[in-house]
Amino acid sequence: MRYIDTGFVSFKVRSAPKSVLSNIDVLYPEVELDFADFTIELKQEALLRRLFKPQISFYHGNHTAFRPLPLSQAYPFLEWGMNWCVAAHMFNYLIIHAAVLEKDGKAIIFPAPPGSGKSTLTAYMMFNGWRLLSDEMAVIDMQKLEVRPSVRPICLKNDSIGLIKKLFPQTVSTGIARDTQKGDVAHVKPTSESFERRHETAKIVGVVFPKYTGAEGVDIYQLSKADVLMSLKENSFNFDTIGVEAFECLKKVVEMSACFEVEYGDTNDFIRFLESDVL
Amino acid sequence: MNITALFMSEILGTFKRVDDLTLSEWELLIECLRENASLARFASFLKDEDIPNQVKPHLQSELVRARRQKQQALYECKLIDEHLRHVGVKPIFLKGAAYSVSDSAVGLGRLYGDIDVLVDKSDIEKSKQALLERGWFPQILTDYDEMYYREWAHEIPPLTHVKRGTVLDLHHNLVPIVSGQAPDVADFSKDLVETKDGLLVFSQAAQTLHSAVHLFLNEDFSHGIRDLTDLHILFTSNKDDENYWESLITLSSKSSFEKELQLAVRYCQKILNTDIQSCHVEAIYALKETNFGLLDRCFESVLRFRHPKLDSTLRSTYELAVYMRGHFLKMPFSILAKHLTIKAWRSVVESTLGKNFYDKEHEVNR
Repeated sequence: MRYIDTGFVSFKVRSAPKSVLSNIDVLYPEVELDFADFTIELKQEALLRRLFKPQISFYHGNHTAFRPLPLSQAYPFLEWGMNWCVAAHMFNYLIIHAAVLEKDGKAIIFPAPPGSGKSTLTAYMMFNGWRLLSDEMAVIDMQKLEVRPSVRPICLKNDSIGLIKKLFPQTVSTGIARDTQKGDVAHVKPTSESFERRHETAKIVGVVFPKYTGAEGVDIYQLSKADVLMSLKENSFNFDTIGVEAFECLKKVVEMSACFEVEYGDTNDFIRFLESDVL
Repeated sequence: MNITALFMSEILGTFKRVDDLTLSEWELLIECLRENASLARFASFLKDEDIPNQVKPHLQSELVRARRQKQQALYECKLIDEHLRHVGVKPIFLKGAAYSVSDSAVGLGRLYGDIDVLVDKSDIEKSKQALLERGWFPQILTDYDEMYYREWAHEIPPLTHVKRGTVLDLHHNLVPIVSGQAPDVADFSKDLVETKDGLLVFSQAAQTLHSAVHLFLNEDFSHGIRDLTDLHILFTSNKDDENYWESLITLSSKSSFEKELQLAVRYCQKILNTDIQSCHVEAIYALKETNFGLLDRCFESVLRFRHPKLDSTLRSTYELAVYMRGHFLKMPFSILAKHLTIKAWRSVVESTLGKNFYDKEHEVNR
C-alpha cells in the first residue's frame, strides 16, 4: 500500500504490481495520511489473460471505469486513472487541462493541446527555478481566484524524454512505457521544492498558449479575453457541471490576466518574455 | 431518524453523531455511499453539522453534481416533451426523471443514468421516429439483444443523444410483456400530475408502486439501497395522506402487484426503519398471503449497501438467487432456460478472454 499526496487531493494505492509501486517510490515523496480522497488499485484479471498478453485494470474503490490495458502500460494507466478520479468527482474547484508554473508568488496557466510541447516546456521551466503547480490541471479556487497545486510527475512523450534527460542530468524518471495511446511516455519527478510547497496556492497573473515551432525568435500574439475564456472553457474538465459559477470565475480570471499566444523556437527566449511581460 | 443517520448506521454498523466520526470512518462512508449512488442524497439531507475539512470537498462536489443532473434532466425532459408533443404524443416521465422534474423530496440528490419515458404502445414507432430526427440514436446491440427487445421487452433499445450523450429509455409498459404480468398502463396513469413546467408524471401513489415493481421484479440489485431509499422517502413524505395510501393499495390489487408493495413496505421497515402508520401496514399485508421466509434472507442481504467491507460471505449466493428469481418472474421457463444459457456461456467466454469480448466496437477493431 502507498499514500500519495498531490496537494489538491490524496490517494491511497491499495495494491498494484511491484513495478508500479517502485515507480511511486521513485516519483512521490513518502507520506502518511489519516484520510485519502480516493482509494485506488491496479489489478490483473481474467485468469488465462495472465499468461497470454497480460492486462491490467484500474479500480477506484470497487469500481472500474476503463477497459483494461496491457500490463506494460501499468504506470501511465495509474496516472491517467488518478486524473480520472479528479475529473469525475471534484466539482468544488474549476479544473482546466493546463500546466501551471509559478515564480515570485505569481502563477501562469499554460493551456495547450497535445503535441504543442507543453510538458517539455513544463519540465524545462521547472528545472530553471520555476515552481511546478501542475503539468496536467489548473485547479482554480473560484472565490479566491488562486491556483491550488496538484503536484504530479510530468508526463514526457517520445523525443522529449531523451531531450530533457540530456539537458538536465538530475532528472529522476520512470522507464519508458512504449506504444501507449500517447506514444512512448515516461514520468519525471517534480523538484522537491514543488512538492514541499504543494499546499501553497498562487495568484493567477497570466494565461499563455505556448507553441513550439522550432523557428528562430519569439512571435507574440495578444489574445482577446473573450476568446481566452472560451478556450479555457473548452479545456475544462468540469465547467459544464459547475455552470454559472465557473463562467463567473473564468470571466474574472481572464480580466485580471495577461493573455498571449506565443510561438517560440528557443525556450530561454520564451522564458525571458514571460519574466519581462507577464510576471 | 433521518436519512443520513440511517445511512451512517447501516454502513458503520453503529449509531453515531456526525461530529463523532473518525476520518477513517468518513473514508469508508464516502467510498461506500459513492459506489451505491447515494453520496449526493446523503449530502442533500445532511444538516449543517461539523464536517471535517478533508470531507467537505466530496460533499460539496456531489451537491454540485446533483444540481447539474437535476438541471439537465429538466432540460432534456422539456426537449423530449416538445419533440413528442410535436407529433401528437404526450409522454409521461418515470422514475428518476420524474423525481427530478417534480421537485419532490425523493428528487433531492437522486443520481441516475437514463431518462425513462412512457408512451402509448401505438405511439412507439412515431415517437422513435420523432426522436431519431432530433438526434437520439439507438445503441449498437448484439443480434441477441436486438431480438430480446423486439420480442419480449416493455421498452425499445436505449436511445443516446448524438451530441449530449444522454440516454433515453422509451417504454410502452412498466414491466416486460413476456412476463405475463404487464399491467394495464391506464391504471397507473389515472391521476397524472402536471409539473410546473407542464411535464406529465404519475401520481405519488403510482410512482411508489412503479418504484416497488421496478425494484422487486428485477434481477439487478446493484442500486438496491438507492431504490429502497426512494421508497422510504415516498412513504415518509406521504405518511399522513390518506388518499395516497388508499390509491396505493387499490392500484396494487388492481394491477396484481400486491406482493411487490408488501416487499417494499417490509424491507423499508426492516432496513431503513421507515415510519408507516400501522393501519396501512396491516392493510397491505392483508392484501395477499405471502411466505417471506426465503425472500427475507435474500432481500435483507442484497438490499443493503454493497461494499467488500460490509458484504456477508453469503451475499453473492443471495445475489445469484435474486438474479434467478428476477429472471424467472420476467420470463416463462422455456425462454428463461435459453436466455440464461446464452448469458452463462458469455460469462465463461468473458472470464477467459476478457470482459470486453462482446463489445461491438471491439469487434469492429478486430
